[in-house]
Amino acid sequence: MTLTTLARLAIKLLIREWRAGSLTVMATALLIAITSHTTIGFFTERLSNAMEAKATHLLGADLVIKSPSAVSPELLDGYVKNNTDNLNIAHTIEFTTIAIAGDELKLSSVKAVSNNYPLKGFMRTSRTLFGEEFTTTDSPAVGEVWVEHRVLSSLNINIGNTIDIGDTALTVSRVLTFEPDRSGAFYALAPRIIMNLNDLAKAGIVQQGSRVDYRYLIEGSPGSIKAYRDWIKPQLTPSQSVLDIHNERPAVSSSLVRAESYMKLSGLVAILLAAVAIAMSARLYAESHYDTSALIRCLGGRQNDVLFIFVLQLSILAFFSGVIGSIFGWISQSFIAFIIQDMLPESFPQASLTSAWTGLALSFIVLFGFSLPTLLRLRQVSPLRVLRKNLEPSSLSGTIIYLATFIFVSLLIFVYTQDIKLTTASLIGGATIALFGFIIVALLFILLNKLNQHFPLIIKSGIRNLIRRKNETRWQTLAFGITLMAMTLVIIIRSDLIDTWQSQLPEDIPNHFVMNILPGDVKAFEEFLTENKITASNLYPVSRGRLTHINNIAVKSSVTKEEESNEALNRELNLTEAKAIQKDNRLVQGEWWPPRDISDNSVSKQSFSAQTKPKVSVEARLAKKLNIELNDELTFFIGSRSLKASVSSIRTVKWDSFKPNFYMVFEPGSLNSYPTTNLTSFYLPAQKRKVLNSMLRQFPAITLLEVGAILQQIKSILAQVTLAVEIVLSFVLFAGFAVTFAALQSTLSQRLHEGALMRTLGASKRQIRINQWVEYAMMGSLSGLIAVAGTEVVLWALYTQVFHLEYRVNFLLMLLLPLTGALVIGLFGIFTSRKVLEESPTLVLRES
Amino acid sequence: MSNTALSIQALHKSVELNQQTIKILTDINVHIGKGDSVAIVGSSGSGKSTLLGLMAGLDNASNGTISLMGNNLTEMSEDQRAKVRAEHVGFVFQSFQLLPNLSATENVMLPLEVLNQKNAQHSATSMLERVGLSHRLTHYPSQLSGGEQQRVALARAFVTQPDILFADEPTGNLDTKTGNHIADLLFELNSEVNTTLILVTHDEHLAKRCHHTIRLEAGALVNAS
Ligand SMILES: Nc1ncnc2c1ncn2[C@@H]1O[C@H](COP(=O)(O)OP(=O)(O)OP(=O)(O)O)[C@@H](O)[C@H]1O
Ligand SMILES: [Mg+2]
Repeated sequence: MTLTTLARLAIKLLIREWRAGSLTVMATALLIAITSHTTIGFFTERLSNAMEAKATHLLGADLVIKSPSAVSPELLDGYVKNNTDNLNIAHTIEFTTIAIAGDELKLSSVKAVSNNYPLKGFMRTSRTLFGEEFTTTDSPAVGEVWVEHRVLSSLNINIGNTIDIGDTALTVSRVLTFEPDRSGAFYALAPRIIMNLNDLAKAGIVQQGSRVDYRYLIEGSPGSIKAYRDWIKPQLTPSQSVLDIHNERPAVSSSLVRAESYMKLSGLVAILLAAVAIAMSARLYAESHYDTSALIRCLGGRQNDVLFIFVLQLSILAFFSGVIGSIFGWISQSFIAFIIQDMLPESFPQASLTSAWTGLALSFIVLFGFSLPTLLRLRQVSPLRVLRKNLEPSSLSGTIIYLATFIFVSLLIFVYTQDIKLTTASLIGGATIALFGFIIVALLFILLNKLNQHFPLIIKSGIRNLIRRKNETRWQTLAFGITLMAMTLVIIIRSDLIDTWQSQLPEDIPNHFVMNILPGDVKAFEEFLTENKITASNLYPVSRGRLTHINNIAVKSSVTKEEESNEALNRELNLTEAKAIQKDNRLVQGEWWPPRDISDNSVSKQSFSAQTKPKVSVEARLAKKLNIELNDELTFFIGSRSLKASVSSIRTVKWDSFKPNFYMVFEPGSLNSYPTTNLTSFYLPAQKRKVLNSMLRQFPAITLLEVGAILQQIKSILAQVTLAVEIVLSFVLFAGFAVTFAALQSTLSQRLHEGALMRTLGASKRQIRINQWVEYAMMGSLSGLIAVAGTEVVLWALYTQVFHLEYRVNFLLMLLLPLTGALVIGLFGIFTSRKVLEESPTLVLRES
Repeated sequence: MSNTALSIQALHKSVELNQQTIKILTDINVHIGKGDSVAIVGSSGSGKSTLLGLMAGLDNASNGTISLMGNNLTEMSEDQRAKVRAEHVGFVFQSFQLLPNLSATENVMLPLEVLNQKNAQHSATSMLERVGLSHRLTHYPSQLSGGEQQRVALARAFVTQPDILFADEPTGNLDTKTGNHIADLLFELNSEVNTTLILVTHDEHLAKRCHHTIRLEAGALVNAS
């Protein structure tokens, strides 16, 4: 047969199969797999592009060169001169100086910026104090400054007044509320003043030797940025450094990483479930074409002609599913983006077509990977089958098929997760679950058989049907069980994930920090808060001090040069004391000091001598960096006095929790004889911002920090991700339904036949319907039991081995899953086999 | 070219079943000339279908030679035999063996497409008209009666004008009256196309309409006439 005739025949048969509906399950499963893959692919690509864009916004550029002295223009422009690449460069110079207005002085952190600053991202400013904020990409004009509100209140001036910076007087034109590339921790910074770089010479304050931070912000295409980085990096001195988004990650990255791996894993679950459905329906498809294969061979077709026909059919199916799935994926990700457009950054870049290509490839890979073993059997069908119906093609050895599938699944998991450990773990886990699942199913069937005689008459025959067909129904039960388990796991983990995020960023998460509340003002401040109905967190007493010695060895010499940049060492730390550990901190070593009787006045008055050193709890990352261990002696300098403390515990801190967090927490009373101020945080809705005016007027000494803008950004990111996660979840559910359909279809023709036979023998429709209900519902509840066992084991493993959390058996699940199984499988079963009751027995018997 | 359509010498066929060798056919020798019609008869299980399958090259012999239209089937690979089938052989089966997903016309077109012949559609339609099914061209097998299905099968078998036609109980699934119609049609077409006809049947009447009869008993030829 020539290729064209074969192709024509293949297409003709395919179209007919399509119309007859025998390809629906396979095509749907494939479509689900591809849509799921491409939706996730497109969306995560856009998300990570947007995240990257956002990160560059936080950096103010694609690349930043940081230097303590001016970089020579040759070095900076040399590359640009010799290359056609278009790079934009903005300059900023940061230094600390005194701003003066009338008699008032304020130590401020000044940033002089070139006119094209910022290259990426934006600043937020307002034209009146605590007035409406708006974003801007302008920078202060010559002769003007933008200042943080703290500058206005400390200098006791208003918008439109002038301040002196060095030898020049500049007019305050706006209040600055957000700048993209603000570095360092947000407390402990002098308030910001942004001025125009062209005013700097007149000010005459940046001289040789003054402590100044020069930054060169560079923007360009990814290629030219990379080339530029490669070119300039070797030429920098050790004190100069290159910053890019990869070493300035946003604080939410851990949540995003988790979300992305969740999406990928559930995407994988969806694909694997779909693959199971494909394998089942492919088998059915192949088996129903033995006759076709035999006949074509009988009429003179060669073995490879037959193979070609089916391979071509599957290729067409794979191609269309790939294309349509990619289109669906595109539409659904656009749809997600549309729904949440308010939360998205202004520039939400389109995705490239990469995911469409991989989707198309995946379509072929999944379809052929899971149907080829059965497809090859079609080639083996003997033409003699036209004379002897019962001649089954010799199958490939079972081991080879299972081995091939196993290798294939492993590859798929690996390609998807890019993680060899995770791949092995899921393979071993999957195999174990399948094995034990099968044993349990077998036992359940035996048990059912024993118990059946005690069941009421009406359900007896349904259960007998189930047991009689046990060769198929056992596999179906296992398949449903694992499907149900996968779906349950994906749902439970999703809820845990989203709960974690929501508890991390509740609606009323503090968006303001207040520092430097003097001990004498504490009462009045608390009253001010209650008056204005503001709920604040605890007040933390804070002393500012420097860590100088660890076990009497000077810290500077105990750390390597590289670590010198550690911010915890280079600046003063906020030292606090606390009775109890903060809620989201976790002890990893040592013990917290025992709670003491609060009524015991001596506790707070307690002071420590050299013999009874106070205890201190150290943040884990810092402890690791400085090699601090339990019972080490740490020496701090607070003001001009030293404080020795012994390390009693090491704890982890959630730095992205937006609550006051501390590297060092002392035992209560430790800081009694040292100067302390207080720190608190609170949530203030936007419409109440005016309150801040009176707060600052009443407590001029306090330092107020607003973090609402950053918070809002993070919240919007998490909202996006949550939605994406739920979309992915729905794919898993669809894939699960596809498996259910495929599995039920595989015994449909047998059921049709039996049903028709039963009816010709005089069984009533009602009887048959009850039998079906019983059979399907029983199968469903058995698979629910399998799912319960599997879910509990997997969750136990995840919680205790991976997350290190306490695991509690979920009893609700034990009830819920068998019920869900019975209901879902019952409904699906009745739906797929409704033909058994609808079609006339004669037609059914004749067709078969 | 010789006058022999089919020649079988010392043919043996046995199968392995549960480590036992079951002899199905022993020492069969048959010569059938071109244009002959031969009926293979015998009781159920005597090996008729097996012999037919071997003659048509659908199966491998255990021993002996089969020569079909000058082609030594026993020395050929499966795909080579397929080519011989496509060029020389037509089939009619007891259970019709129409593809359920193809219409009557498309089923008849199938062997022409295998041979890559032009005007397949036209030839198929006229062949269906010849068997009296001009009003059933686009019907699917499930929409046809048994007799109609077998007529489609006859049309499919004769549309390529085969040199030799194998029929395994072509009337076995039909009532006597319809069976007789089919048999009439079969012999009519046979004489029109001048095909060598080999048919397996339980029906003595049908066997008598053939020039020769081969009788099988427990896998061996008894008396050829
Ligand atoms: N592949 C096989 N494996 C096992 N036994 C076989 C095989 N092929 C044929 N037989 C046996 O060989 C014997 C002959 O079978 P065959 O189908 O040729 O008989 P038949 O004469 O066509 O019978 P019927 O008239 O009932 O169609 C039977 O007993 C059958 O069981
Ligand atoms: Mg037979």
